[in-house]
Amino acid sequence: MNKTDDTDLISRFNSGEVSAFEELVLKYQDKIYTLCRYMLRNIHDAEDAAQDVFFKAYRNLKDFKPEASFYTWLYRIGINTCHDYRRKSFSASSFLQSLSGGITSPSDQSLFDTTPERLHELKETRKSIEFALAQMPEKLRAVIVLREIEELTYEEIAEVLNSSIGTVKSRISRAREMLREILIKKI
Amino acid sequence: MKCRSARKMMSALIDGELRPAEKESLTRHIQDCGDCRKLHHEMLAVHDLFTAAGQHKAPQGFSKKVMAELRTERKSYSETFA
Repeated sequence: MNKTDDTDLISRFNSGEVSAFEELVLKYQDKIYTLCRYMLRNIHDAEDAAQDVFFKAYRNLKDFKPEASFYTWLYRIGINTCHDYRRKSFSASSFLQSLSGGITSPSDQSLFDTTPERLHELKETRKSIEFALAQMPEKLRAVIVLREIEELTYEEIAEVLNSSIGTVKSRISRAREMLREILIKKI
Repeated sequence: MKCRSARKMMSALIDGELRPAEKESLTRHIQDCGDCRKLHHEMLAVHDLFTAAGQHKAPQGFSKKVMAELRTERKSYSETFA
């Protein structure tokens, strides 16, 4: 993730060039949507939450401090937004969907351009991961998604979560132990 | 190295977040200890599962939807405060 490009886009946006924000959305939409999918499981909530992340970023971009990384700031908004969604929208439909393992939607673009065997394998893999993540405390789920799916370093995760590197390290370790137990039992 | 310390450091080994001396000492322990080797193998399997799952792609038209919503919001804001 290139900090210079982001700084340039942000300064263009702050000078009134709204299209610069669309470039930021295009650059980060898959990452933020993925974060919301793994944090929330329900695909409709995930799409709404991902949109909210960009609305919040748009409204607060003028207050963004250029010495920080834009993407860690955006991920922080993402984690907080998912937290709010989980708290307020444990609706009947989310519950039913999670029971039926609603992991992939027909419109999931990442499932296009693939063979039926590969598609089935990918669906099963994601289903296993979402099953395991759904059983974890939110704090552990956040660190492991940021590490394993978003591939952030310990330092970047600490910045996103406003924690120490030691805390991040120990939470990732606990998350992996827990995932291992859940997934091995499942197999 | 004791198994308890090895267990604590194993996740950081997978992430490449150990110092060279720690990495060397843990790798040696894993080679010598069957239980820790099994644990390491299982943790790697979990890591590989995440790698295989990969990233989702945002739904088609996602950015257009976001920008359209923001344009509407800006329009109604300027109409209200004009």
